[in-house]
Amino acid sequence: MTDDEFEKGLEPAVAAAAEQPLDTLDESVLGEVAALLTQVDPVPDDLIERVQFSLALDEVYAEVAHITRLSGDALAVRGEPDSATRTETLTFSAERLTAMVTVSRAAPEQVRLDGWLAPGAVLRVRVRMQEGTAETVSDESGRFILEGLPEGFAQLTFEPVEGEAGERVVTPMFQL
Amino acid sequence: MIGTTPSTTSGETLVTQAVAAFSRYQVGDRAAFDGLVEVMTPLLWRTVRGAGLDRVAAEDVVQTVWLTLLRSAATIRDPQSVVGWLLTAARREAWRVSKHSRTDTERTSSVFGVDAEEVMALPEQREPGPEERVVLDERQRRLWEHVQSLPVRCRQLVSVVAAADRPDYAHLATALGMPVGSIGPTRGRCLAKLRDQLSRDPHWAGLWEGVAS
Repeated sequence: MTDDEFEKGLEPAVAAAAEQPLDTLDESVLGEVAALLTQVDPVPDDLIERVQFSLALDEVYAEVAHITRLSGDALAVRGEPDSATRTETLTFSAERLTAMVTVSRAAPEQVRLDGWLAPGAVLRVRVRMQEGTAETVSDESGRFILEGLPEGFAQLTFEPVEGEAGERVVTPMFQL
Repeated sequence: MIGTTPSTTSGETLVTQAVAAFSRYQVGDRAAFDGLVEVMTPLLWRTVRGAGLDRVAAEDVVQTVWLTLLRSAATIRDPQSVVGWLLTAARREAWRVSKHSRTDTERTSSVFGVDAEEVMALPEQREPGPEERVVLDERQRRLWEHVQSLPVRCRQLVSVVAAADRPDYAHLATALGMPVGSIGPTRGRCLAKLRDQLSRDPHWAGLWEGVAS
């Protein structure tokens, strides 16, 4: 049922009940819904903390890139030769910039990001983590590599190198 | 007890706390934004999950909404409207992600070529349903199914209101596009529909016993 069909299609008795004030039965149903959701679909423990960290940016940014994820298991189907390395590919789409980033984890302190920016451009790429920030500059074809990163949550920022014009783009946090 | 969920000792509701925090932020109190995040993130989570996104995609949407608010905060003149702004942004972004992830994928493929296309074409993982992850009794399982069977906006409203304070019902219903009447909020269509479904469900018959009908 679509929302519009729902609006039109309520039985008269239900539509009439909708005009009544909330009563104790409504309270009781909502109470059970709240308890059920807490059990079935809890808000992730550290989500609030992660959001607060991702917002603690010192600089103004022009755009938030949308994230698209490709599952690591799906990639494993391709037959990665080294099964000890877990990989995951993410794409970040902003208005004038798309980044494709492969996260490889060989060991806890051995996370590597292989990135590819389109259109290819020399940009300053920063990865913000709880432990600190690492940065590099992409080459003219838009490729960049960041190595030796710890596991945990991270956020990328892309910005012009000094002296160049352009806007700063920021991504949501993702798991290294 | 009526209003079984998160009331604060000061008697403030989630909405009044959110509006107060955003007002403080707008006059230069940077730390107040963290308070806003704390109060509103659970409601954004319910809104986005109600749209049917999996947990990982839901986290991305919640983060994107907050980053966008931080960037747009100066354009929101009336702090009273911040809750509506957030819930609307969450609904839109969830919708965009669920409807347009394919478009994003195609665009990425066109940007990066065949190699990317091959990667993108692989199947997505299916998220296990709640009944596969946690043990529910029959009554809970039926309630879950009834809530899931509601139209998206109703599912969002019922799960957001369940997690909020009752005095905020009218405000949240308006923010989610399902207004319930401003002069003394009425039950509204979504709750009326859910009650109707439950009243016909033998597993829920018990709820109606002992309540004068």
